[in-house]
Amino acid sequence: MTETQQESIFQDWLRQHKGLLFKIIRAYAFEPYDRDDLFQEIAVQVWRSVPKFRGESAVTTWLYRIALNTALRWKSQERKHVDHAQPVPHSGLVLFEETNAQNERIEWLYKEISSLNEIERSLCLLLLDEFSYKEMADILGISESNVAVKIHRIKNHLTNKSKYFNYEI
Amino acid sequence: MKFEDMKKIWDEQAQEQVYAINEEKLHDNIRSRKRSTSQLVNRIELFLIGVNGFVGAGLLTLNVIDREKGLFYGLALGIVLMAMAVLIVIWRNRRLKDEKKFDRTMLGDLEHAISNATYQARLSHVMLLMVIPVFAFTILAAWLEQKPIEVLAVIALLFVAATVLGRWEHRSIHVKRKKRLVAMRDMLVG
Repeated sequence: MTETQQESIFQDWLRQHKGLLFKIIRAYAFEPYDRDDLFQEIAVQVWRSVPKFRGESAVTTWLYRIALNTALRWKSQERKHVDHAQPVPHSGLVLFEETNAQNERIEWLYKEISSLNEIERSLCLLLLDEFSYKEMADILGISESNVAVKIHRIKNHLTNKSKYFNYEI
Repeated sequence: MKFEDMKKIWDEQAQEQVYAINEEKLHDNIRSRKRSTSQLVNRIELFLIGVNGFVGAGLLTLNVIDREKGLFYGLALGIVLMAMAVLIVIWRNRRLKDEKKFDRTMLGDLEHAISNATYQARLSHVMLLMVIPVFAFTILAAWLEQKPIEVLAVIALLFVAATVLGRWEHRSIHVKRKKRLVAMRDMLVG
């Protein structure tokens, strides 16, 4: 594969599936600089993975796998957290917030997802994006029954938390 | 709220574009990272092989060529450093061979990260232990050459500082990271 082909596929994936990457970044990084850092790390890993993609799974599954693995590794690293009291200038970042119009219910859901441990968080994202138990087990490398146990726990946790949230569907 | 209702909330995200990407900057960053050596472990290994090999070979050459001034301690230190460089080459080859045994699942990736973190921790530990013979040979050589006590004190201080920094790096970076990764793996399989 030439570098131009790799670049073109990478751009296509980014255009079509950036929403997927944003969800993972939002669930694992909570400050603008951290989000930017994680996004860049994921982007590099996705770029590197392009020649290895053989089409044996859907692109979304492939990207989820890379992005979640990268997020977990990223979380395990020691990094300096800067005080972000000051507004962040867009010019210094690759990834920046485009709108401040926050959806309160989505904010609540992300807050609860972020209260889960890193592994449960991954499963919760996959579950909300309608991956099957089989696909989740394949992505995580654990048994389907283990997935089922964890998902049961996650659903209970989120349902209990929702009792304290005023919402309208 | 039922989980199905949360799913509806989740799907609302499709309508909102929260983030934007500075594509030009992303491109530049990917290019610069691509050029840089792939991994931290790789860089540390090459650095250690280079430094140990270069200094070791230098010491051996100097002490063999200049036999009259050549000291047993200089020779011994050269041999220790060269042996260290060879040992790291062997470890590195073994590590590179093991790279392919991990699958592409999250568990496989965590196992891989743990293996790398273990390796890094071992490397930094061995480097810490290496300070002892290097310190012993250096101070002994300086003492035999009848260097003033101030020089010996400065040498000792430098080695103490290097050991303290090395211990800090070993514990607060490598060991800590490994523990975090192991905890994640346990969460995954548990």
